[in-house]
Amino acid sequence: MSDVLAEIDNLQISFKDENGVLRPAVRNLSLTLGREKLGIVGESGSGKSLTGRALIGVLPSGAHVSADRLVFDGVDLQKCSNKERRQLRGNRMGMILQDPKYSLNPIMPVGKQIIEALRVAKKMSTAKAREAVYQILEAVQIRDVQRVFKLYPHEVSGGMAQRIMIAMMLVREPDLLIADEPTSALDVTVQLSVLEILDTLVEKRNMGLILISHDLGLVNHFCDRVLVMYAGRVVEELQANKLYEAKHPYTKGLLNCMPSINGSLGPLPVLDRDPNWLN
Amino acid sequence: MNKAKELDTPLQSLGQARRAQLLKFWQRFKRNKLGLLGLGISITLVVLAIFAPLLATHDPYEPALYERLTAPGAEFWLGSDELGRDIYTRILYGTRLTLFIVLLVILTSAPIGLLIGASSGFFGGWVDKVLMRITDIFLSIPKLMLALAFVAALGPGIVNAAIAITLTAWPPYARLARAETLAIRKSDYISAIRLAGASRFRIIFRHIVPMCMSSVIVRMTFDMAGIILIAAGLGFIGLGAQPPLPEWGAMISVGRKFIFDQWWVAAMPGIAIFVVSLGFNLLGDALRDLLDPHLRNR
Repeated sequence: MSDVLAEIDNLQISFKDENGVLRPAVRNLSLTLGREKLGIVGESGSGKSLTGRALIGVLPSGAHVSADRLVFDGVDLQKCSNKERRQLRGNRMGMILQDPKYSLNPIMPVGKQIIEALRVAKKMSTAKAREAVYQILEAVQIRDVQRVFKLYPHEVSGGMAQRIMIAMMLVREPDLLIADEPTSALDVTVQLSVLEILDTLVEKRNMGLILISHDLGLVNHFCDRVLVMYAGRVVEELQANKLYEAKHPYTKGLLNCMPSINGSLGPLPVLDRDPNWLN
Repeated sequence: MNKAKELDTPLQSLGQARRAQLLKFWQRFKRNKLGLLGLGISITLVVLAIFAPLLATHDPYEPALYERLTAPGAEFWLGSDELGRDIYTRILYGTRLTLFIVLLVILTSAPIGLLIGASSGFFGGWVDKVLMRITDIFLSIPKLMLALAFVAALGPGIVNAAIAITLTAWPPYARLARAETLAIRKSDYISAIRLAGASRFRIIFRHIVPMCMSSVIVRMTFDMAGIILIAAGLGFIGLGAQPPLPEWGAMISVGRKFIFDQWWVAAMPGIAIFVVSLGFNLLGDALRDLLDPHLRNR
């Protein structure tokens, strides 16, 4: 196993507008990822999620993707057939979606859904799969696993649903986990416990993690490295613990927008966008 | 000493909750008196079909020429037909044929429609266009006409009639399933299962089709009435069940000759058809009120 898990070089993702003109959503994006925790921050629409989805290969219909290199653990993703990509998905990389309530099939008990995720990869006896599900549910700190196994998504809380979603992606033991704002639908205390779970699991299994987030403070604490994205491109790359020493005006602007408990009570500054950032 | 009541284990309480849900569903259903009537008629139909030999007073096939065209009375409860056969007994046995056709048609047409509609909605593009245009063509021809044409090609008989009705009955299901699929396929949990690496086949069968079921079930109950009518229509024209089978439509067709003097020969099976299709319609109505989320909170 190499140290470099994923490599993206000059990734472009664009969509056609009404007149058929290609509008780029992600431009010239390059990143390398080892077995580490990488944070991607940026505003809504800056292309964070699209980047993650491009890696995993599930993009909205109508997306045009091109890249000089799009490599996952030595496999060139651009040369893969649909079937090979599908086998990578889930087996080698997983993705946790933002809103846990909508990411679970409403008419299937959650335990069954995790079994689904398991069976997608390989045939497995029900008893064995059930055992694996109990284990993974316990790993994400859910008590009474036998009861939760039989619950429908509307019968669990948001935090539980998110943990179930995490369990569903982790049960196949992927090498890379992309967490697309895994905690933004949760309240602060649950956020922390979910992140803690992610952290220990990532550490224990030596996985790579891409954490997509709005939350600068969270990324600062949690990740090893941070990419700051603006309008579809990376404007700055930093060590996470040096986030507050950022040099790029955009990152500084973002940091200034965070209210501080000791700060003044006046209105927060508004970002000044400089068109030069795009060059 | 006062010992606190022991709490149930979580698993037990889950079971209780589920049972309570079911009970609530039943209570909501009970409020709809007409729906209850529909359910009663449907259950009666099934019971009659199962116990027909026990409830019959005569042999449904054996002619008794001295007693032909007897008016309803103590011997023949609903009268006798032109060969002296007891109409009550024949209607009783006819329930079996009716149920047989209805079940055969429902169990074949709903899955066909579901499959076509779900794939059409899920794949989109030219698959959608081709499948939906075919569906349109089938929808544009009157059902009975199309069924007639198919029976004429396949030859008369009860199974062929069922096949013919199936061929005309699937398009509404396809439409329905497509509409549902279009709403579902963009949802996050479909993305989630795709992210887990599920194949398209798996997504359609395990995650989309089950979501369409509630509307399909409602549609099915409504359709049953229509199917009974078309089956009776085919029987009436002589292309459905063949004599001496006691199919209701065929019985009416025979009774047509005597309709002015011996009205019961045609009227009795007619009433049977009317009651049964009314029952299925009422049941369908009630189920729609319960299962359709848009109507639920009214």
